[in-house]
Amino acid sequence: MSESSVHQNEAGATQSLNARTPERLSALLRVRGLKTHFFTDEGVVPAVDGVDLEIAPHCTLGLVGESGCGKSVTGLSLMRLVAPPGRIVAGEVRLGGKDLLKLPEAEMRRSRGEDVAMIFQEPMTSLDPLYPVRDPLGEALRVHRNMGRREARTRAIELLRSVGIPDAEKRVDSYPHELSGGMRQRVMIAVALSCEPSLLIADEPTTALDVTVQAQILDLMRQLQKETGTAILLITHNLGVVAETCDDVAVMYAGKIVETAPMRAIFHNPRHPYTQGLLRAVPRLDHPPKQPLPTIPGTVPHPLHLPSGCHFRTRCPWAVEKCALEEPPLMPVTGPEPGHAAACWVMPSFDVPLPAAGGQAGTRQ
Amino acid sequence: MSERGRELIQVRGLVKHFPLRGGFWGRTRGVVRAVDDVSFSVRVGETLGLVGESGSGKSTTGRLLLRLLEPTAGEVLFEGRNVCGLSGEELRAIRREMQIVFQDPYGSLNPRMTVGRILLEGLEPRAIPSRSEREEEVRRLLELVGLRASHRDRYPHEFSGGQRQRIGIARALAVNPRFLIADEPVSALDVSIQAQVLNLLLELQRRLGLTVLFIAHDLAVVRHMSDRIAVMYRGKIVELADSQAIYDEPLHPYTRTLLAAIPIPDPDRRMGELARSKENEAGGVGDAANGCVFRDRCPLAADDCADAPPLREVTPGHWAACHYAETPASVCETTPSPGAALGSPAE
Repeated sequence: MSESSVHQNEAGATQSLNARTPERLSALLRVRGLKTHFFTDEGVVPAVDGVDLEIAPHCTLGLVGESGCGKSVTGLSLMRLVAPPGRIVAGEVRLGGKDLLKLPEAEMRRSRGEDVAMIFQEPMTSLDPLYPVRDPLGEALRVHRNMGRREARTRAIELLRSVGIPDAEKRVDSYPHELSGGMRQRVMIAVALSCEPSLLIADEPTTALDVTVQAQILDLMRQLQKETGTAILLITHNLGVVAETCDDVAVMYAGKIVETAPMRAIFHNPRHPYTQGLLRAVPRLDHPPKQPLPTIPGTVPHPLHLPSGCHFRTRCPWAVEKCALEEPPLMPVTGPEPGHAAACWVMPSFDVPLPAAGGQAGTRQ
Repeated sequence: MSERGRELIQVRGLVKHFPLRGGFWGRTRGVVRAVDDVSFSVRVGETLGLVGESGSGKSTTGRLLLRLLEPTAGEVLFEGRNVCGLSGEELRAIRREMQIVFQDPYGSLNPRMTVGRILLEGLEPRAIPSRSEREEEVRRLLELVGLRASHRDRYPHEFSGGQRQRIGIARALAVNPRFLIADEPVSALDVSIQAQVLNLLLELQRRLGLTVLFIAHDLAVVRHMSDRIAVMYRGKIVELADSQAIYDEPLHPYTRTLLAAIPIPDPDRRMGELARSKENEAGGVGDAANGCVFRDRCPLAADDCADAPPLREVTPGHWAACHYAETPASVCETTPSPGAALGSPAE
């Protein structure tokens, strides 16, 4: 950290979260071999196909990928909220002492909210328009905390205040449509955190918001995490948001984690060609305008017709013969940062220019 | 390209008010000033970026230019001719020169038509007499946007989002327009596909000499595509400059706020402080807007901001609507100064 960047973040919250603690805390969440498949008429779609994740308390793991990669289904699987024809077919989700996948449904229902809570992209669809915001807040407190009506209301007001809603005493009686998008997302965060879960799953929590509001919500999540120590699984497609909020990153492609690393390593030393392609393809404010962007050619393969071996090989500029024959497992990347792994037989260095076919081919399909 | 620098589009004092209805009989309670006295021009062959958050009036401005909406006041000149005064054949003729690509390729393509028919329909205004020439033209359009001729017999649902956007672009180009409005053309697309479509638009502009109005909420995307950028906030243009200058030396406090709020995919560069310092959200769009539109969120706001600041040329080619545009950025504690942030990797 240079002096200047420390000054920029006088609040300190930013730094302390991203500055990595010397010895890693033992994981709060440990996911092993999670498989969630969708049994459709056309065939079995392996939406999540053997995913391992780990998050320590106080930490944020960014789960990154494009539409259809399985990142949202992973989040829903942890909550056991996958709807048919989807089904969790294998794996282990250890949170604290218990394996969530083994809990009887009644216990799982208690766990949702108390141990793990989730917020979604569109707060308008998660809040019932017919009820004022005191209801979802109060409901959680009355069910999980056995609070009486009056006590729940008082606590609801406190919660609204803690997520930065002005005039909380009045706002607690507002209906969702009376609140702006940013305020609604604040309410959802308040609901999610009402029973102090140890894990918060945030699925694209700021994607529907304007950038200035997004900055406020990300800041709020950071601040609350600092206060409560909640671990966060942040599902997003936005690499800027990742750089801003995450301690670790897992990149998903076609149902699998293809690279996982501490946040800085993902940006400075990405070793999977897909991660590299994503980083290169984003238009950046600090790059010269009107230049062609390096693209990832083609599109995501159809989930029923995944290529053999590595699922990314058909779009990969580095693909070699072995990539078609054998699927690469996540293998450790040697480097300054421990905990870095990539599922690639080639693991090209990010500094090496793309082989000839890669760069320009993407403009044509 | 001797005509470079000439203005193809001139917009003068454009206003669009939408009535705000409510109450028992749905009486008009007031107006939303969606676009409020907007003036700019687009030069031949350039891309002008129009950036702003939701409700800023950027999409309404695009629709007013094509007269998909009727302006409340003001004029739009295409090569000196007022688009707003035209009707009938003249309006149809000018619409052949101006086309639009929308955000949602799903919503803008008829699902019951094959791609070939969609493009043939787009060709109709050109009244190409021979069938084989029309078919040849469809093939040329598909190829132009990077699709295969064999795609012509397929339906929109058989394509991915990025391919559908290519079809939307092909249809817009069917009439050989000189001016293209791209309204959030990539916001519904994934990063890797977004890059493909942006490259296509850049390439087409170069090959066809198109003049483009590029509308989007993502400042990084807009800057990547544009020669100049106009920043809109609550119906007004608050800043207009070279796209490099907007980023290097933003003059309007709103532009600085916007820049500071954008998360950059680089752990060594963080969002500026202002992004989180001000608890506020754009609201009260229906209010009678007296004074500066950004006043209630502005760190520099003072008494004289009750008088609306006009958009003025602060430095050559760099316009801003702020009484305090000359105040250095450091005073507002906004974006990290670009030099320092760019130059110093933190470790």
